[in-house]
Amino acid sequence: MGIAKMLTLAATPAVSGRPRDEELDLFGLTHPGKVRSENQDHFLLCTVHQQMVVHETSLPNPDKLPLRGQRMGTIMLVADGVGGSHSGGEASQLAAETITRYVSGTMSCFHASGGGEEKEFFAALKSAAMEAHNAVRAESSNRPGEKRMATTLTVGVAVWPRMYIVQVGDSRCYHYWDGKLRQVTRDQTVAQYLVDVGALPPEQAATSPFTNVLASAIGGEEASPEVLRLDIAQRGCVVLLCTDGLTKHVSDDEIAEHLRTMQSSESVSRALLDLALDRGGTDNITILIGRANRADPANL
Amino acid sequence: MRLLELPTPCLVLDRSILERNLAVMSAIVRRHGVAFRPHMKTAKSAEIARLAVAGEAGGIAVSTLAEAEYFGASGFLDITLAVGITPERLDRAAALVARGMELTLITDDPNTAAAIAAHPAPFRALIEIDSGEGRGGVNANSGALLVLGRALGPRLAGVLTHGGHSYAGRSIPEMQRIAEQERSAVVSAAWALRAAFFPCEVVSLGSTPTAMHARKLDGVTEVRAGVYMFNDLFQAEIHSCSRADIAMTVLSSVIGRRPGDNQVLLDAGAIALSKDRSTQSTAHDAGYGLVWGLDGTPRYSECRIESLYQEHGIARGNRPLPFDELKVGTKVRIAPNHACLTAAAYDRYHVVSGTDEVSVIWERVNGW
Repeated sequence: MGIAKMLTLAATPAVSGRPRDEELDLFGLTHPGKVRSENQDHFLLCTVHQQMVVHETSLPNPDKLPLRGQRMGTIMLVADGVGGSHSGGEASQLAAETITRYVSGTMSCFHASGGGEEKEFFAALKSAAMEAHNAVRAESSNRPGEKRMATTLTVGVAVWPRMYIVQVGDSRCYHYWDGKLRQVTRDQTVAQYLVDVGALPPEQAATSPFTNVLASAIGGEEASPEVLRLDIAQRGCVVLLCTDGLTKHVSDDEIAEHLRTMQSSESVSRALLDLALDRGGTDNITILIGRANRADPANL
Repeated sequence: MRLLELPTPCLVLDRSILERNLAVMSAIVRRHGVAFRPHMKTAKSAEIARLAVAGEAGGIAVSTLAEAEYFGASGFLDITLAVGITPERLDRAAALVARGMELTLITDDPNTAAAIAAHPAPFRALIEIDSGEGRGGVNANSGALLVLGRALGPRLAGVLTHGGHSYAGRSIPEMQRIAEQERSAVVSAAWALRAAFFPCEVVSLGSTPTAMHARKLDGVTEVRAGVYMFNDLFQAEIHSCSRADIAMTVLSSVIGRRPGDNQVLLDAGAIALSKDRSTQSTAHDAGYGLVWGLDGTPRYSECRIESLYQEHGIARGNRPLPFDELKVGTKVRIAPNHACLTAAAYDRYHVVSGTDEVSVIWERVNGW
C-alpha cells in the first residue's frame, strides 16, 4: 500500500507511573497519497537511550549485559516539505535531521537535570528549530535559480511525564484523553492569523484561500517556532502527529472516533490513512501515534 | 424594504461580507507593518470608503478626477489619483488642492511632469513604475526615471506601481512571485532615485492579488488595493478570495423560461452585468456570471449566464433547474465576473447584512 517507513514497539499492559519501554505503543507511517508523484514528508519516531558500548571483555556472554538503558525520552517528528521539484522533500529531510541531532543532545542534559531546567529546555528547543531553519536557508541559498526550500516541522519530545512540542507550520499534534481530542498545536497559516486577529470567523478559515498558506515555515521567509508543554502523565492518553495530507480529508471528530476505539497505534494509523486515501489522497500523508498502554486490572 | 420589492436589475451589497473583506485585507497589510491606502475605484462610495479607512491612515486612492471631487466633497483630503493625468486636467485637479486636499498625481511622461512642476498648485507627484504589466510606467532601471525626477523637481514625492500582471497568475506561488517582482521593481526605483539625491518618501504598490499574497514588503511604504472590498468570481479563481467572499451581486428577475433547454431568461443583460469574460481563462469558466438564490448562495448549483444581449441574459444550469421555483418574476442574485465593471452601470447599492432586508441605500459616483 505504499507505506514507506514504519516503526513499532511491542505493547503490553502495565501499571501506572513512568511507562517502561515495552509498554509503549508507537507507530508511524507515511504515504505519497494518490495525486503527488513524490512524497515530500519525512517523519521520525524514536526513543533516546543511554548505551553501554563494550570494547573488550573477558566475560563469556557480553550480550547478556544490560547494554541499553531505559529510554531518556521519545521523539516524534513530522515534516512536510514545500517547494518545487525535489526541494520540498530535501527541506523536510534536512530539517528533521538537523533538529533531531540538536534535540537528542539537549534531551540528555535535560534528563540528567531531572527536568529541573525547563525554561532552558524551552529555549533550547526553540534554538533547535532555528538551527533547522538556518540549515535549510543555507542549503537553499546554495541553489540559485531554484525555488526556495521550506518545510513544516512538528516535533514532540517526550520526557515523562511531559511532552514538549516544537511547532513551525501547519502540521499538527493532537492529544486524546478521556474521550476528548484536542489540537495541541496552532496552525501557523495566514488563515489562522486572520482568525487570531479577529478578521476572519473561524468557520470561514477552511474555505479561505489562505488556509494552506504558511505564515511561518522552516526555510521560509519567516520562521516563528512555538514551544508548548503537554501533560502525558495519564496512562492511556494518545499523542498523534500528522501532516495536512490527513487533516485535509479527515475531520477531528473522525480522528477522535478512531482513537476512542483504538486497538493499537498501528491499526488506527492504517485506518486513518485508508480514509484519507479513499477521499482523494490529494497530498502526502504522514501519521504518527504514540501512547503508553493502560494498566490492565487483571494484571494488577 | 426587502429584496423582493426592488425593481431589477439593481446592485445588492452584503455589508457583513464587505466588512469581513475589509478586515482581512487590513490585517494582511498590517502584518507587514506598511500603511494601507484603499483604492476606491471599485466601490466609488463615500460610505464604503469610511468603512475601508477605519483604523488606517485615512488616505485613499481613486482612478478618476470625478472620484477625487466626489470623495473630496465627502471629506477625504488625502487622495492619490492613481491613473496618469494629462496637463490640461491640472487646473481641474488644482481646484481640489485649493479646497485643502493633499492631492498626489502620478505620471510617466516628462512633459506632464514638467507641467505638474510648473503649475502653481502644490501637487505631490509619484513616478509610475512598470513592474511587469507593460501597461503604464517606466522601467525601474531606465534613465527615464531620473529624467522624470528632474522634471518633477520639488513636486516629486516618490514612486508607485501596480502589479496588474498578477491577474494572469493562477496559483498562490505564482502570485507570491509576481508580488515580489512588483515589490522589487518599485523599491529598486526608489533606491535609484535616492542614489541620485532625489527625495523618495512614498513607495507605493498594489493590486488585490499581490497585496493578498506578498511574502514581504521590505522597502515599501504603502499598499493599495480596491476590488478586494467586493471580490468577484475572477478574484475567487485567482485565489484572492473564495466565492463565499463575494459581497456584491446583481439582483435580477426571471423574465422567461425554457425548461426543455434547462434555461431561464433574465432581465440582466450586457449593460447590467458587463461583458467581462475574465473567468474564461480560469479553471472554472463562469460565463458572464453565476445565478445564485435570493439569499446569495449558489442554490442552483452551477447555473451560468451563457449569452448576453443588451437587456437579456440567458442562464443554463449544469443540473436540472427547479422550474417550479424559477417562475417569471422570481428574483435571483448574479455573482459577477468582474465587480468593478459590473458596478459601473449603477448609481447605488442596496445594502443587506446576511438577510433579504435592505437596511440602507448607499450612493456611488460614476463618470470621469
